[in-house]
Amino acid sequence: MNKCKILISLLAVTMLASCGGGNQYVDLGNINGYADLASLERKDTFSTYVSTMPSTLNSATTNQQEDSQHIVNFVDGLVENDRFGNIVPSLGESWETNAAKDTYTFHIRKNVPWVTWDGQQYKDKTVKPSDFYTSARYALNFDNLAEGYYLLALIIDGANEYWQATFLNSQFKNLSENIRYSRIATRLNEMGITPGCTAKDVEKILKFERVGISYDDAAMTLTYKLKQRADYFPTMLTYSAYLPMQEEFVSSVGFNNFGSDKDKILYCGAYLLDEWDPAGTRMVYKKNPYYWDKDHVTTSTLIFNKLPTNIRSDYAHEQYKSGQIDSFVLTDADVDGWNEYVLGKDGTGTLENPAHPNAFSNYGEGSKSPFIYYLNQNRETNSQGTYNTSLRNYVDNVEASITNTNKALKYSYFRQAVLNSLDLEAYYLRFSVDNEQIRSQYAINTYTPRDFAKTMVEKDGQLVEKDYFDFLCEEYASKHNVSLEKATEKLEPMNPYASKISLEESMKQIKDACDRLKKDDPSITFPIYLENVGIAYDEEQRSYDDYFIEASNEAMNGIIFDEDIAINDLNKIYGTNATDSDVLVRIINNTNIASATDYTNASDYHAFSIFVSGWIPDFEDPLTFLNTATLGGDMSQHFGTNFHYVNADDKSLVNDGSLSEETFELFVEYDSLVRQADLENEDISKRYQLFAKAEIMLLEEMGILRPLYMTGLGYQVSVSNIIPYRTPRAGYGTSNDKYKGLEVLKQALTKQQRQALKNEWEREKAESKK
Amino acid sequence: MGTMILGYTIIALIVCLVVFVVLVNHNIIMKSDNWVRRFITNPLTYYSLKRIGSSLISIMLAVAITFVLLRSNKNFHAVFCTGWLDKFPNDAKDYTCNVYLSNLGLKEMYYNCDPTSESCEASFRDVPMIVQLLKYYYNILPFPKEVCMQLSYEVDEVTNVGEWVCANKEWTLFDLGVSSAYRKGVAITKIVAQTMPVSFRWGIWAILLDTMLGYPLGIFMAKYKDRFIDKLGKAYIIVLDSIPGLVYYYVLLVFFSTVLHWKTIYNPDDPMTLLPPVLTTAFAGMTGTAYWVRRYMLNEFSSDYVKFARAKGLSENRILFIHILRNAIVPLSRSFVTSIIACLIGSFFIENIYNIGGFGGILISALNAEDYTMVQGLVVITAIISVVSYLISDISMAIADPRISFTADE
Repeated sequence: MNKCKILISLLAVTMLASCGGGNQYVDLGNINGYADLASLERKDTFSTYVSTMPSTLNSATTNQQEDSQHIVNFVDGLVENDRFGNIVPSLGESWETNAAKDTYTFHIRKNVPWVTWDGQQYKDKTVKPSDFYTSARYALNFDNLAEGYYLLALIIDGANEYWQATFLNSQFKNLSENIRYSRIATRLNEMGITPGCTAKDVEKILKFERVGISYDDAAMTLTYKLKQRADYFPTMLTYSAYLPMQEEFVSSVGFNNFGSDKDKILYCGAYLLDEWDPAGTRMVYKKNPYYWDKDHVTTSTLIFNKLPTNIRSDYAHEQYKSGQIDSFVLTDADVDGWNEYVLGKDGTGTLENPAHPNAFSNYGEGSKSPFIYYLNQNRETNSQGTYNTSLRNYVDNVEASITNTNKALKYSYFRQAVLNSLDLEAYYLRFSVDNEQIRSQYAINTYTPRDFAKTMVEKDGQLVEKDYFDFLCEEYASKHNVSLEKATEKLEPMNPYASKISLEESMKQIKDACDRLKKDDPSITFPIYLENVGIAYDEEQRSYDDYFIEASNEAMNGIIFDEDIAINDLNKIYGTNATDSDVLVRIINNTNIASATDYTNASDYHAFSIFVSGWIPDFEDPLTFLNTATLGGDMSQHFGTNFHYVNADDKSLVNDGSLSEETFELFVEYDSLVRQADLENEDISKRYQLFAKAEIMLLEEMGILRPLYMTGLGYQVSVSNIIPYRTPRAGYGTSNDKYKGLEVLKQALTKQQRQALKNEWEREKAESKK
Repeated sequence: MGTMILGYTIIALIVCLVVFVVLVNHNIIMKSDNWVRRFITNPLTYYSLKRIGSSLISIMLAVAITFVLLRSNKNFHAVFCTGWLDKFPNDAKDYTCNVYLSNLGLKEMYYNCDPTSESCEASFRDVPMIVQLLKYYYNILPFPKEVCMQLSYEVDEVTNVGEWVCANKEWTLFDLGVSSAYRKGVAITKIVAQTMPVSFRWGIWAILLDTMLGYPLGIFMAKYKDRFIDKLGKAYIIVLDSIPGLVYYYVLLVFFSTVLHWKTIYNPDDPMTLLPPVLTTAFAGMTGTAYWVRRYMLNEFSSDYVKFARAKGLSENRILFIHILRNAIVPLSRSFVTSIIACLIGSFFIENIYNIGGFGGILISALNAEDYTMVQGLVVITAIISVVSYLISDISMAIADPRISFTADE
């Protein structure tokens, strides 16, 4: 979906998503599952906190999670995820593909009314296939500056050409038609978007009818023609760019005003927006009386309050106790809450087995949005690349230092040595200083998370589910000739020690890499400075970053630094034995990041050599992660690999000198593996094998990124009135934000009840996959 | 164009009127006595007109200062075009950002070459700040004008060229524009009109409670000076005034939520949720009220009329409540009126802590969202309210207290 920024604070109020193994500590007694809760009284109102309120509800333009998490409750899409994560029909009642599987035809549900915010049917209008066509037309027109256009342009035939053509048309609008079309054609050719395109073709490209979306309102069918076969296409359809828009209504309020208030959108989803205060502190949903699936909407009113700023760590549990929210997750920063719910009066409770009867320890497989540490090998030396840099405290010539760093980062062996030497254990301290178990739970060792993409394989004559993670382990085992257990141990999440190397080893790797650098490019000088950009304006985060950087520098050089002391002062501390030449690589923290805006700017200008960012998947396939690292891929601007010089003759990539020849060859090989895997649509096992090969290569050889952490992994203790596993869920898209099916009890569930529900859900989930 | 002429004609007439009033008051024109002269030279009228004039200048200055400060960071790309452009192709980012900034009125497209020549490409430049400022003044000056309420993108079917055109124009007196980031597309006047009553609702209760508690406390502290109640009151005032506001707010929040288990999230449908913000504000506000009531009353105790009343044998309570209090509250009535009007603005801290969707919290939220138009609009509203509240309180005090005069020579 988008790269995401570092999480500053982890809000302890959640919908309690989870899956994974059972809890051995809970004795279920005679509770079997959901049926046993039938006699318990439900609440009709659910209250929770959100950290940010939406700025618009215009589904065609926004791609921000704070907006779309609400939109998806007001407007249904073609498909949704059920409570087991399976794709199920929504407004697309059924669908079929052609033989080549590159065309999807959806049969749209009949008689689903468009409703206004106050529960009135809008001019007796019902959802039509043309409503989906309308929203795509708005999203793909450059002039609407729609953020989510790429979700359509990525996969639908002709969509990218249309967007690019409207962009160029806007840029050249002063020119006469002939000249304009001719210039657009030239640019489209240059960009490799429509090779051989002429001015005459441009006129056609500018017609939206050419985009691979067609409809038949009479037959209630909607057809998407894809660029190429992509079996994951249905998993993209929950994003807001694919939601319908009623043309007549949009015209009546104006596209610019559409979604600006509760009365400026039409509803066909489970809820209507009853209240949205202009100050953005509160939203209230009411059940849609005309909803096509209203039997599954069990809670009538939902209240969202904006989380106040500067809250105390015990805020969530105090709010729960006063009955103002319906669930909360405990953190060890909330000392009173931790003592009361987890440790208990006698202090015998544990994270896995909390003491309080209503506190349940849930084992989760994470948010599926991994954070990574990555290197930027092409940092610019202009005003953007040196934005608020701290390098001036260390070197006389900032531009020369950045150029020097870029030169070194051209070499994959050097990048890999740096990434291997990062002391991630020191990084994880920010998640819990006192509790090693809690902080270890954040660690990940693969880019594509475990439990994200699965396929069915035959085993002992039976069809069983196999995780992409298993393919990764197999690839690792075969590549390194180790047992599968060993490979699993190396790659599994929540194991911060798997990728840890000893101090001697990290020093050796860095020294060897630097010796090799001296031979490959004698102009490189040492130490090589890698500037890190973090949330330096937050005292606590900065101190954690400083500690991590100090530990990593020590691991690379064997010298203990004080971050406040410039390299030239080293002699004063370590005596004459320590000189600049003792230090080969030094990470420094940019201490000039004084605000969130500074941080965002430094991130957007790529004014760093090393950085942390996350990736939210767009669809349920490893491609969504692996595509980020290809040359010119989704995150290539951050990695400094965003060139796409294509040899006009054979369409092969040409190195423009940004990378060393050896690195370039690696990238070409990686790109080829990813492309090869993406073309493999018949045999998903084969597809995953090829992706696994690419990913292991990415992790071990490419030296671009190192998996860092993911939230929601491992045990989380929570207290909740919400009956879990009743709402839609998925590791991608927007289904996790839907409140359809939500049931809230008037009292907290006991740990026995929650364990029984979990066991039941796992059984049913396994059944649903068959 | 017609409305522009009408607008500036009205402004010119106002300026002429002000000049006329000044000249009449300085005996330069219209020296003969008539009802116009009597009205214009009435001290209250002249004072009010002078204050309105100076208030307008203050508001204009506040707008100009905010305008300059907000635009002092010339790097509009960094402020407005981060994050949401992530997925746009590299070669489209710069142009897209410039189009966005043009829609905000910060930039304008121009051609450095013959626009019809094949190699000519559009460039963007900053709109001069003075041009933006004059346009903004025009929009906020209260006279009828036609403004665009709804933009629509229309593509010419023949040339395939699209333009943003105004699809809906409306006559309005006062245009603050629409929010660009915080609540995209919503008119700022609408946001203000909906949030102010929320702030006023809890604020007025806080003022009433503050008055109901502060006045008796001040009176009794004065009556029993240096006795137990006075010492207790002084201790309360000193303690509350010495604690930083934010600490005090959070201590009370903890007290309400953890000790009393009250609901601390404001819910418009539940009047009980008004209690925490009202009590927090009133407990803090009554320290000032009690302090000044005590002080003014002690001043009056030594007045001749009090001695005379005592000599006449009036009871102490009658002297206290009928004579002293009436005189002592005159200076306080000014702040009372100001406080009531200031309720419209609310309080950032209180509204943030208790999740109240009032006017107080939105300025900071708009700043965080980099919503320049909204920040600008809120500053205008806040400036108007402050200036108007002082004007009304001055005039009301003058009406209430015959001792107050508006002429320098009396």
